[in-house]
Amino acid sequence: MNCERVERLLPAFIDGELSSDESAMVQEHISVCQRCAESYAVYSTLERSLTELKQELPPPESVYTPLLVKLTAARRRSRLRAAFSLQSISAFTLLACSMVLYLYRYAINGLFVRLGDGYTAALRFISEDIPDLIIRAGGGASWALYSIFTFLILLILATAGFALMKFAEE
Amino acid sequence: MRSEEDLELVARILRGNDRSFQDLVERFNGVVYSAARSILGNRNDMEDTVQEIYIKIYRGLPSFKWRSKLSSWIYRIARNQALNARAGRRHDLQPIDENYKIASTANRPDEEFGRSRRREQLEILLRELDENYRAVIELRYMADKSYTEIAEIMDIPVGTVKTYLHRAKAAMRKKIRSSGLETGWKGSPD
Repeated sequence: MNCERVERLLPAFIDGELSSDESAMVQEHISVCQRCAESYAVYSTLERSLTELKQELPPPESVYTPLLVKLTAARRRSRLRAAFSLQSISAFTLLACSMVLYLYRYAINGLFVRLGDGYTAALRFISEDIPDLIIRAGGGASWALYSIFTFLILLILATAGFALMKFAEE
Repeated sequence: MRSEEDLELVARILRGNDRSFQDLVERFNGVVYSAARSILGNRNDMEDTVQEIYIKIYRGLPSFKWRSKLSSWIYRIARNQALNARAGRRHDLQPIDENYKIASTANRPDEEFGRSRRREQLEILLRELDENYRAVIELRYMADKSYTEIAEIMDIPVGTVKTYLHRAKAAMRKKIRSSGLETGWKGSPD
């Protein structure tokens, strides 16, 4: 076995990965070859130094203790996110708007009537023509008008909800 | 891809059991650190990165689909997070040649060549390795994993693990010789 081959086999020799024949040949070579014996010494020291690497692994407790604080914060954020999810915001907004529109249905009707008595064509267009159009499109039912209002309020609240959610993530 | 033990552990964590996540940290700490160290080296911000990795793991567990082993999934998260950290903090790395210059002074005959000096040099040698070689070394020696476990974690054949390990050591030995550091590495380890 020549020096070049021994040098190539040394890492596997150190790891005990060679066959017993190969291992015996390497052992025999390094007992008579100064250069390969020195190389073997370097590999052995390297092996021992590598084995000491595990001493640098921090104990799990030192990792877990600060982590627990961060995980608690992460859980809180996650609950907040769930509370402000799109579905919950939409459901809440829809419910709130329906209640508001129902409670103030006369006031809203009155507002439209007053706007209709206004002086500008634009106001009249907004207050009469558009609602009329919507009501007609909805087969004359006033729910169409209510739906548009609900949708607009929903949009505003959803935007606010998302902004709050982003804030909670920070 | 799921072992009963892993399945049970993940189920307990998902039920909100904090103690179980601590069990996960205890079990996979070596894997997480090895993955992070193979990318970042022994840097001051390692602790922060490791914490970020565990938070990612915690957040990702509900959507883990068991298409790979838990250890392999954790390793990938750790590796990706470390790569992100390295991309964000690349300027912190010291130039390697400068490190070698410092390390080479230890070869002066009047200076005792101790374990700590060798430890410094080992860190530089590791840093110069190919990332895959380094990952295998870290998993083998820092995390104390078997060849089979490393193969599962890195999702590579066992034969490749052994090849990487031998090539890594040969590369380090070559660097020791080319940097003129042999004297210190021939002696006793202490």
